[in-house]
Amino acid sequence: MSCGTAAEIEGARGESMLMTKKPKHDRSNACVKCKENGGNIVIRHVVYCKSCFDPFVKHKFKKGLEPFINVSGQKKAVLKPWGNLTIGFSGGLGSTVLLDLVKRCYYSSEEVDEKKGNNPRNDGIWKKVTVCFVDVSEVYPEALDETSQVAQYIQGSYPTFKFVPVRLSDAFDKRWWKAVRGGPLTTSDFGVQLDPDLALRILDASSPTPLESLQTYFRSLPTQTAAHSSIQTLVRVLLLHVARSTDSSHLLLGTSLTSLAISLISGISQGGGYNVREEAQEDWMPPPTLKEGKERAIRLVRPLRDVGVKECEIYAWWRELKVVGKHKWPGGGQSIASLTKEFILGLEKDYPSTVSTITRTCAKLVSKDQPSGTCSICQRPLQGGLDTWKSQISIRSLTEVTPARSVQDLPLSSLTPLLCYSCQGTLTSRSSKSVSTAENGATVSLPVWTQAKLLDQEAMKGEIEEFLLSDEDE
Amino acid sequence: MAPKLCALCAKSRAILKRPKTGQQICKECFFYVFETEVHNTITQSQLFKPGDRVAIGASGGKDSTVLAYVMKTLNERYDYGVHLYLLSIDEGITGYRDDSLETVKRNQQQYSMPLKILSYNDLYGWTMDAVVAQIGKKNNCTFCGVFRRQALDRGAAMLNVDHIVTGHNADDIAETVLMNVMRGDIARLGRCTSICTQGEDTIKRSKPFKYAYEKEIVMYAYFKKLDYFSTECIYSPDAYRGHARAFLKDLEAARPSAIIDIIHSGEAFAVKEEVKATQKAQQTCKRCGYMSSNELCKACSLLEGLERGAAAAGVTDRARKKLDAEGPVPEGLRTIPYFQMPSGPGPSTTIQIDTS
Repeated sequence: MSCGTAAEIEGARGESMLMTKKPKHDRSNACVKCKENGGNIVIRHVVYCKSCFDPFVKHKFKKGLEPFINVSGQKKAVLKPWGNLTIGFSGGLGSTVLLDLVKRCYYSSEEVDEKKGNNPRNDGIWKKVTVCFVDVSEVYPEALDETSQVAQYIQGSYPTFKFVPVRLSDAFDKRWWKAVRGGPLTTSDFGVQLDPDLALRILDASSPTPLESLQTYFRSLPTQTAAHSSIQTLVRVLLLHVARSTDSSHLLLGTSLTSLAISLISGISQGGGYNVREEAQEDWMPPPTLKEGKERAIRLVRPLRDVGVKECEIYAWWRELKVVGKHKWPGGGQSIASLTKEFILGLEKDYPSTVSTITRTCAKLVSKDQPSGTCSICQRPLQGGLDTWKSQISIRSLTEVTPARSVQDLPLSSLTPLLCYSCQGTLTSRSSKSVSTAENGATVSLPVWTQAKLLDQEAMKGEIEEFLLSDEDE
Repeated sequence: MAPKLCALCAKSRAILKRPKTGQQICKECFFYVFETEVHNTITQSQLFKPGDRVAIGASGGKDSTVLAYVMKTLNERYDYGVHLYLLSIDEGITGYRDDSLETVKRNQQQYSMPLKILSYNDLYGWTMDAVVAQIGKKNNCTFCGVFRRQALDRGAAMLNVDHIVTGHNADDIAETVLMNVMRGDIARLGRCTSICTQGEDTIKRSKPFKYAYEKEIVMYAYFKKLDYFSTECIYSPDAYRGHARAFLKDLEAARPSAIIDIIHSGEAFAVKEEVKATQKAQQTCKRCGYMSSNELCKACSLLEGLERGAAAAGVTDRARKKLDAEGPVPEGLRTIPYFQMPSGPGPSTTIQIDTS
């Protein structure tokens, strides 16, 4: 028996026998705010009209930002950051919306307080605003460099904001490191062998160019997941260093509620549970090697973390914002981040509160133990005892008794003790289909900030060397 | 091409690739590392002490069969000095549980362990077949899960054991971590990675396979030629858990370490103290004496709904309110026997062990 067409299944008296569609909204289709206008958009079963939607998004944006502007974290009448502002701009939807909101709320005469006249805040909370774009196209030869398009867009739409382009290969560039007032580096270049021990190696004197280093690094990573998460990590740390070099107190990213939920699940799936708090917001303290007098923590805030991607899309559409970045990273379909995105967006259709539940749940979590330092790649808090934990749960050698990691082994034998669980996995965890290739176990250059950290460790060892016992002393 | 040698002993031919580490190893080394890792989990968490009476939750499936075999092996090899029992719950699912219980009965003979079978019908007066006949397949896993948890504790109390071990593996725990984050179940998220759970009013429960990959458990059963029952439950699985499981399998395919990475994440975070303070305190069910976060435990609530022909009352608040509005609980309503913790160490005189 066939299912028949809609006309065929009309009842004898002309009544439709098709199931009625479930309405997208709970009650009436009038705007929930003004209760007058007809609704234009439904957000999680709640209806808004176009004129109420705009202040609704602005309110969410301010709520996600202003309580974190003052150092104390408490919202005061006067918002007084200690430094400038850097905005990470990818060219995507979230950062496009973010830029527009920053301009409208804090750098535009549009925001007029009806009672008090012009809003004093519109003089600009931060003295200088820098928009930083990190070009990631160098990783994929077939990808298009969007820097010039982005530069044109920023200079055209936000002429008072300073545009700073950065390349992903700058993460391996000593000149860039010097330009952003990075600290001293080791005399020899260190590399790491991408095998389970992450052995440190001194690279040949004929150092590759930053671009070659970057490309070797990404070619040698064991999985697509690793490539995806490495791009995110390098971009974030590059932005933090740019923020520091521009004397910024705040770094804003355009991560939407949906993107944040995806990042949280993706991060947890890559072992990043210890840093679940930092995934939403973090205070980054420049490492000791960078200190120039009084360094202060730079606060990374995601002010759109309560604004879903659908709301961003509607906002950009109604504001006629141009989204210049169209990049899609090639070959990312099988990475944990891509799989998570596909899964969460699919789940959101049947369970519409999924993304907000994820972010609200994760906001109730904290790291279990005190950090033992900072990860030398991702710059996030480092959990102690990782080596012991790993050796307890999986036996990788019949002769292995206890992991022989001590300060004497540092800094020159292995990078493992300086890395968080996630970064260790990024460099070592293989896919089930990976077979031995020439690239497996390849030695790759390290990002400049990791090189600087090694110098720090070397200096530390120098200071305590006379107190360390060698095997002969026993 | 010469055969690839085992990455661990470098003597025998490698015949499998370990899902957990990616190493290519021989069969004997696989047995050694699998068993030793479970032993490490047991000793590092100090799960047992000599003389403990331990019930193995046995369904006849791969996880519990391998658990029974490994527990027996390790108990003899490392002289734990524990007394092992098999405890099975008969949910009353024709064509599924009756067949799997036959496997458990064979395991009882093979491993020489006493077996206790406790049925939902004896305990609640309902089989899952009868529950599904009333409520349909939707939400039936809610009933089965709640009833099973209580049944295991009650069976353990009848056996007078100190401890229940279950075959929950690393995949199960990783899946639960993801599900609890996605559903916002903060109370369960806080405890789901604990290897051992024990409250004042509950029997100690632990998961020695917490770090064992499901695939490795299957490999172990296969190479040891263990007798297990491998059919999925005939009633549809929990839809939400099904989504989470499919997602986890995708993650595992992308990067096999994902399972252990998720468990690591779950162990690395904790629920904020101020959030914990808002959670409901544990109490005792006023009707059956089992631990509960409300006046009535979930099993009693579900059972009352079934008995009064309003099964949804145990599942949703709205249906519960509707049922309450219909009036007080009718007299003579069938209820669960009052729960009492085991009296203490030593064999109970009232144990009825199934030896058939």
